[in-house]
Amino acid sequence: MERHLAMVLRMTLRVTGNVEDAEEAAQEAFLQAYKKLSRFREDAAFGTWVYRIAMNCSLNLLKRRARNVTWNAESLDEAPGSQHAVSPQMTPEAALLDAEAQLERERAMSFLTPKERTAFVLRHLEEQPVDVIADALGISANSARQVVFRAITKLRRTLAPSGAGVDATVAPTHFLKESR
Amino acid sequence: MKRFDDEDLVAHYLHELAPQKASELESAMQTDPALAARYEAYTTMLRAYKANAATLVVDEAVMARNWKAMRPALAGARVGPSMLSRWRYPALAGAGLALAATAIFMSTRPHEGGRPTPAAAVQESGGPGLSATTTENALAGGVSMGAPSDDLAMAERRYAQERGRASRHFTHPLTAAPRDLPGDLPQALRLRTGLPLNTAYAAAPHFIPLASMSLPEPPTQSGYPDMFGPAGTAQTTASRRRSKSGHVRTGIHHEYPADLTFAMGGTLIGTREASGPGTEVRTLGATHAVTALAAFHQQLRPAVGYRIAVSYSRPDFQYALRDATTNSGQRDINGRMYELAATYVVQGPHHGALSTSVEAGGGMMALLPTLSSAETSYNLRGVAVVGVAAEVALTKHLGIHLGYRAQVFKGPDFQYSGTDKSIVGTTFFSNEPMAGIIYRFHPK
Repeated sequence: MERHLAMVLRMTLRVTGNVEDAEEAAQEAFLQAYKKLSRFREDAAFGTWVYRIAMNCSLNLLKRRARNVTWNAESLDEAPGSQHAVSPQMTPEAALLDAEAQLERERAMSFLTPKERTAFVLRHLEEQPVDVIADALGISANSARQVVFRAITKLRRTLAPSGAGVDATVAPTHFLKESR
Repeated sequence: MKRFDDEDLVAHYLHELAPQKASELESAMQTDPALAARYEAYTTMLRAYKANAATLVVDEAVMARNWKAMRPALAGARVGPSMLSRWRYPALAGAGLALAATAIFMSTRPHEGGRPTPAAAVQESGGPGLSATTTENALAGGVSMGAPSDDLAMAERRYAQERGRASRHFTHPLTAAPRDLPGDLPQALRLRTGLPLNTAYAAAPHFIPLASMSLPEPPTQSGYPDMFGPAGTAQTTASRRRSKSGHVRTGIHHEYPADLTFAMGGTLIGTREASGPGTEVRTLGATHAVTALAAFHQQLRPAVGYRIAVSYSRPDFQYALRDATTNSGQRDINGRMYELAATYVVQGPHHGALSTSVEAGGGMMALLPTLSSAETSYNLRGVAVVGVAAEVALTKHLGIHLGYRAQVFKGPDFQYSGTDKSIVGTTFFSNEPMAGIIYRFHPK
């Protein structure tokens, strides 16, 4: 269960973009999975099953947040000094630039719709196949593909003027810990 | 040179581009530095996102905190019941149908304690002139009521004929067939009912199966005592009435009080819209689907009847969301609809072999997703039903049933968390035109 929770938390954080929502979505996913345990079929891996539930929970949470304009959960990425680990190999200046670039990238993500963000994260970061994303979003595979393309194009347009995101040197996010 | 847009560049990076187009793009990038720069910008950005994401590892403290938060909720959560087979609801519906039909059938059977008093029975059967003493004496053949003895003998023979015909044909549960009566009829009735001999015996014609047998015409010419006249006239006029065109109207339901119907038809559910936050508009509709229906119907009187029906259909429910800027597509949930409904039936106009009826009532509807999923589950909905039906008798048992039913129910959400409640709370109308066969019991 622990490795499933870790996997789910990673995904929910990437989709939601902040720790509070990530944990809420993950917990809701496990609770739903527990309640529907009798429907779990042995022919599917439990991890895949709970992961798919978590995808839906994350997307639904994003939609709720998008509607609730009063919600003001602070993204971890908006406080780079406290939330980002500084790689010991980086100079302080490089670390600062990297944190700023990462902040820009996360800000660009905030311009995506919940569906675009979810599709982008699941396809590019989680490397999920298009049909899984389509199922999570409740759309056809072709539509899911278009949503991913649209999200990436939108990110590029948002980041292009400042040039953020060009530097691929990044430091790990520390909602979690460094993997090295 | 062929132009490549940004989507082509992204698709190539994600290995979603067709092989031929991918090779064309690669060739184009070798000769077009601007295109190559655009592609490089995308790849750099995407690598940056991925490189950052790749370093995420869940901290032990985070794990512990989440387990701690989840533990009380998991301890208090009730694991849902195991999903029974797909025959669960049809079996329950069938059992309910059989139970309800049996209960109603049994409750309408005559029994000694509940048998109406002869006087009331006579009044109820529309026989103001039926005299208990007259009937007993006429049947016993002992006392003449002023009629000639030949006429009395004729009446006895006629009664015996009717008794024999009724014994051969009649099985109506609301009456006691004469064949069940013992040889010493007056004495037996007196003992069984506890009523005085004359009165008890007078009840006998009331229990004769008037609705399912041909009765003698009122004795307008013979002059013998009117044994069957009052009750027989009432029933005869109810079940055999001449129309203006001279055809004999036949009260089919009255003569065949119970039937089974098996019909097929369509389920046509309208689309409903609901406004969400801002400019959002949510719609819920369903595809047309084939419907199977089985029903048991019993008509106790022309204005008193009931029908218990079960139906099955498999429409796709389609949930869609759109707003001013996007059309986010739709989610289809392939559902199964089971319905168990009881309706009150009133017999309508009838002519020859054609009979009509209207019905109204309610019941329960179970809506299940066809494919079991972790995100979806069944819904139970109350349903109101109205309908009209026309039946054409082909043989003494079989007929054609044509009907239309309308159902009103609240839209399902299949317990899917992504379904917006503003749309599933709206009322839906389902139209069900039906055609099938009807099997009637108690042939004439």
